[in-house]
Amino acid sequence: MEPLRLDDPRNLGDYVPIGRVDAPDGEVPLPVRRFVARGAGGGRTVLISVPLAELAGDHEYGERFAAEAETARRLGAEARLPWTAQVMESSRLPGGPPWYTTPYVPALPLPGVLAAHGGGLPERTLRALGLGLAEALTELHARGAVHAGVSPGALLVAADGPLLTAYGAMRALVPGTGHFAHRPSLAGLPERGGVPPEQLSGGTPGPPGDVHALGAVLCYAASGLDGADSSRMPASMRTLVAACLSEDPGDRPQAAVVRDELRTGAAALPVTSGPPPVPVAAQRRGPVSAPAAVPWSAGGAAGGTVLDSAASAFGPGWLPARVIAAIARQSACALGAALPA
Amino acid sequence: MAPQHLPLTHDDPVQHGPYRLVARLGSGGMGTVYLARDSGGRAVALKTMHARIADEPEFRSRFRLEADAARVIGGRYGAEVVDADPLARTPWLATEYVLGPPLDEAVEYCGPLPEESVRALGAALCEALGQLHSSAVVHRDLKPSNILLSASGPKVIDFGIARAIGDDRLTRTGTAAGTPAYMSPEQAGGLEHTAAGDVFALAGVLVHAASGHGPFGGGQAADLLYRVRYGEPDLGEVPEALVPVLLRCLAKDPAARPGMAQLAAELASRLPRDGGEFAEALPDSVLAEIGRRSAEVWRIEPHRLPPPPGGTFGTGTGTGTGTGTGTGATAGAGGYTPTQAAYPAPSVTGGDGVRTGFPRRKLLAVAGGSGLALAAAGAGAWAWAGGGGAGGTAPDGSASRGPGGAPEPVWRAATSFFTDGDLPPLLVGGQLVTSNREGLVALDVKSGDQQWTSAEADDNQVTGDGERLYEIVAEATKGSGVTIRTLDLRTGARAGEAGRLPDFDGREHGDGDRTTQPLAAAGGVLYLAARTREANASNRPLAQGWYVVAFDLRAHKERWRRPLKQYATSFASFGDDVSAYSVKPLRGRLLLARPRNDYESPLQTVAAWDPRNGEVMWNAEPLPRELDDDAPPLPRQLATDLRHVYFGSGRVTALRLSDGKEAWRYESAGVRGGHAAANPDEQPALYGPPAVRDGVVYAAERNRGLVAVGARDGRLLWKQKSGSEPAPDLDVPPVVGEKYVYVSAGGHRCLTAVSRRTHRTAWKFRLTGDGDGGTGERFVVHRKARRIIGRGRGGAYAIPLE
Repeated sequence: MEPLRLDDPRNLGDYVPIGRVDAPDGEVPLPVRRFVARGAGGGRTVLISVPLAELAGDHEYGERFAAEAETARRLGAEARLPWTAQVMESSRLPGGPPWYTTPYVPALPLPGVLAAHGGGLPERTLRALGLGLAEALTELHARGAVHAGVSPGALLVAADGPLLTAYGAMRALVPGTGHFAHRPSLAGLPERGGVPPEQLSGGTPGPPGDVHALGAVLCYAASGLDGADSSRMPASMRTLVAACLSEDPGDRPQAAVVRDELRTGAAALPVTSGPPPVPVAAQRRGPVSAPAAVPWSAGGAAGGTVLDSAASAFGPGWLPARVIAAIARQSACALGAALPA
Repeated sequence: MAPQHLPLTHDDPVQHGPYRLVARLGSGGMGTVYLARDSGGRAVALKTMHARIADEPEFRSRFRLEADAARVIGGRYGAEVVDADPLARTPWLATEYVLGPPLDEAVEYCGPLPEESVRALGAALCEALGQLHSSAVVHRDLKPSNILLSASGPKVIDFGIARAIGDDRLTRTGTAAGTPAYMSPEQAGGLEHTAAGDVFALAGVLVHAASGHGPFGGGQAADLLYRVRYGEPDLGEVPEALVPVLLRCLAKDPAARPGMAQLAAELASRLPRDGGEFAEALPDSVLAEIGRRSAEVWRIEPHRLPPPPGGTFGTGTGTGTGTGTGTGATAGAGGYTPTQAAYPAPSVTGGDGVRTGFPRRKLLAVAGGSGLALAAAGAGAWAWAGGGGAGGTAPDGSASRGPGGAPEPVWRAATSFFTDGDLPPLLVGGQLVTSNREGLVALDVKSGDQQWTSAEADDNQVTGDGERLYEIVAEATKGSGVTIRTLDLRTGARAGEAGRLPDFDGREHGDGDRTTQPLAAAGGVLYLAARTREANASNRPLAQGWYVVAFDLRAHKERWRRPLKQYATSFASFGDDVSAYSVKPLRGRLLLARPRNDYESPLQTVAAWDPRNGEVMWNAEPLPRELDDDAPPLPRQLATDLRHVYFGSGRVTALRLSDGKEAWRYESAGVRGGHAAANPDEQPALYGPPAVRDGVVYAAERNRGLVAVGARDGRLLWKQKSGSEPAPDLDVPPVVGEKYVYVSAGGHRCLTAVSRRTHRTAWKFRLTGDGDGGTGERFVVHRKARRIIGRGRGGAYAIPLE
């Protein structure tokens, strides 16, 4: 958890933010600000999302933001969306920013995960994240919705799997190259592969755009580098990710196909954090050290069975030790945090 | 793993100081530990003293010393002290809530730690104890349950101060609770405990971490004292490189042991990297548990059990909330009335002939006995050391006894409750849940008071994992799938939905048998047996058959399914003697014992499946079919320890958990490596289902009594001496306590207590006052509360576990 900044809200409805989820602007391009917040007289802790500070005055944007939040809430209300943060409450009070809450789960944004690990993530983690994200998108698309903003910042990683957040936040911005140039906090997002080419050139976001973004997120997770380049993926995932990154949306696989591809290989991997990652320029200030491999804890079982679902891909060892430690630290921090004076 | 939090009882207070109580983390002789929150939402672990001793100056001093020691060790090596009020009417201490399992639970569930973890653990503990020693405090009771494994390092809680003031009765036998588990020889001889004694204890802890047991084993206090003073430590399973230094730490002469700094240097000397987080030295399974706890604490809802209703079934008012210091408006609590029977009792299956479903309650599958006991154990490390038994017995732990020495029952529940063949008792959150004709019933484990009853759930379809209750519910339209629901632990009513299994059919067929059967629930997975529908939701036809299904309770969906080969889509009637299909989730393995089934094979088999994907890891057919009709069916409980799974039948057999191969077998003529024919002149030997504890396997031998055999090699240790009248039952495993091993005997008419020390029958317990009643065939053991709870035709009752 990061400390609050000067221009962060001090309260939102009954909720009081106690810490920021994302690092200061510029490091994690994301069209929302997220906070851990206390509500209900201290009885509840949530993740609360609000628009960026510089968009505070834009009322139309605020309306679109609120509408997307309400759509997200309804989409998950009937039946859970897998690996997705469920919107609980959303609000549009006059005079204040729109906001929405999701239940608090100790989790780091993907860039934070790489920072904790000290570089790109091992293959087992990549496959698992890819699988979770693909399952989330498959279900979302099946319900007729499109996320339109899948990016490293939008993906939170909890101890038991990924959580896709920030539904619709990018769409609310009205995609267009001009728009990004005027938003310093979003500068660099296209280069980081967060926006598929057809959306950049002004097209309507569609499911293939989400798949492109999934590929880009995995490339980032594998290397910590910007620019979606499938050669950075482990050999077993290269072809799949390259297909996701096809220029022509029609050439990209459907989310369900990505999910199936990632499922069948998941059980075949040994339970270990894998080879040391490619060392990378630090996302945060401070030294980066290459972590050593965690010793084998058990032999892996080869082959899948009748249904090899994502749940078994998140068994012990799917996340490197330092990442789990960082997640536990965030949880302890949130447990012990007092309300700001 | 064991649940970390239990509901508040009706007489827990509402708050202490500025902290409102949310849930119970554990309780012991001196006090209770809660999860609590202040009005700013800050969460802490709150330790208090029992109100009944809060006025005594001696106990208050101990409490203050404990708080001081916690401050001395600080937040790096212990739980950070947040707040305290040692002068309050009921003193309390608030510390950080540590996110990590106690070492004993980590070893029990995740296996012994690898060398690297033991070194990192040892080095950190040396620093922790060094910190204490430099402030002239010695620990006195360092043990695995007092050490929490957090991602940033081990944290020592519970400082054993209970033994600081004038309590030098270390050689007192009887209450094992008063005996430090890793005490030094000088302590065992009644001498003072010094820093060198902490070195000894630390080595004991590291041996436990590396091998799963302490260097001098466990068992009865007097034996342990002797072994510590005069016996050699058992470091057989400790990694070789660590043995020399640990042996020196375990020297009988304190002066021969290394100092803390020296020990730290030797332990750290071969660490493959410098620095790095403690987390990197931990095995994946422990890390996964840390991750799980980090998330789970946010899901705890405050709730409080209602006061027990007066009288018997259905007549209690059940209203009211906390009656302690609160005004009744407790966080999250409310008044409850027990549900009246709103639905007719589940119908008895009618008809004979072809059954296409599992016969009601015939295919019982109960997770292994030790699994149940552990699941109910509550919070582990947060319980206080010292003092006597938990509430309900006299403070020094003794129960009132009848003539002959057998204890009186601590409580009994009315006889009209229970009938045969109903839900095997489950321990869930401090309650014992079972069923009678009217539905589910929950009793408080300590007091036997009825907590609630509910007829809403079908007791045939209910199971629990120690923390929650689950029910398999058939969806409304015939042939349209199955839903897994959770039940509210306060009322037994259906609460939430954990997910769906759309491919499986829950509806009854023909004669009313259900086509689903819960098998076990543990580790976030619910295992059930179920039958596929004809077509799935998109109308694609499904392969027909019976499956074992693993349902992931956290992902809310099916994880895998594996066919049950022996049950084809139609088969003839089972008959009454079909055995239980036993399922026991263990770390990294799901054990299944397949029943003897005349239709396929006369052999009983055991298999281990991978709980992640259902793959068969190994299959064993260890038990030749006994031609003797007296042979008991494969036991309902699979006895396991870290290495083996044990069975009775013609011989006591141990199979290796790693590959299913036979490790050893024992029969009364001696240990045989290969196949041995029974003496043709004698009735062949027969053994009941065994129980294993502290490296010893106990089994009842037909017409003879109890035998105790070494778990590692099957070597006979001792046999019960003196008369074994009445003959031991061969269908119930023994229960192992500290002083006694309890054996059901005489057709479930009594429990024989065999002393672990003298190997003789100490006394026999009978349930009196009810003509038909016996001691029952179902037992659950709640180790933390020290109760054996029996349930049989005569009702339910609890006796102390000694």
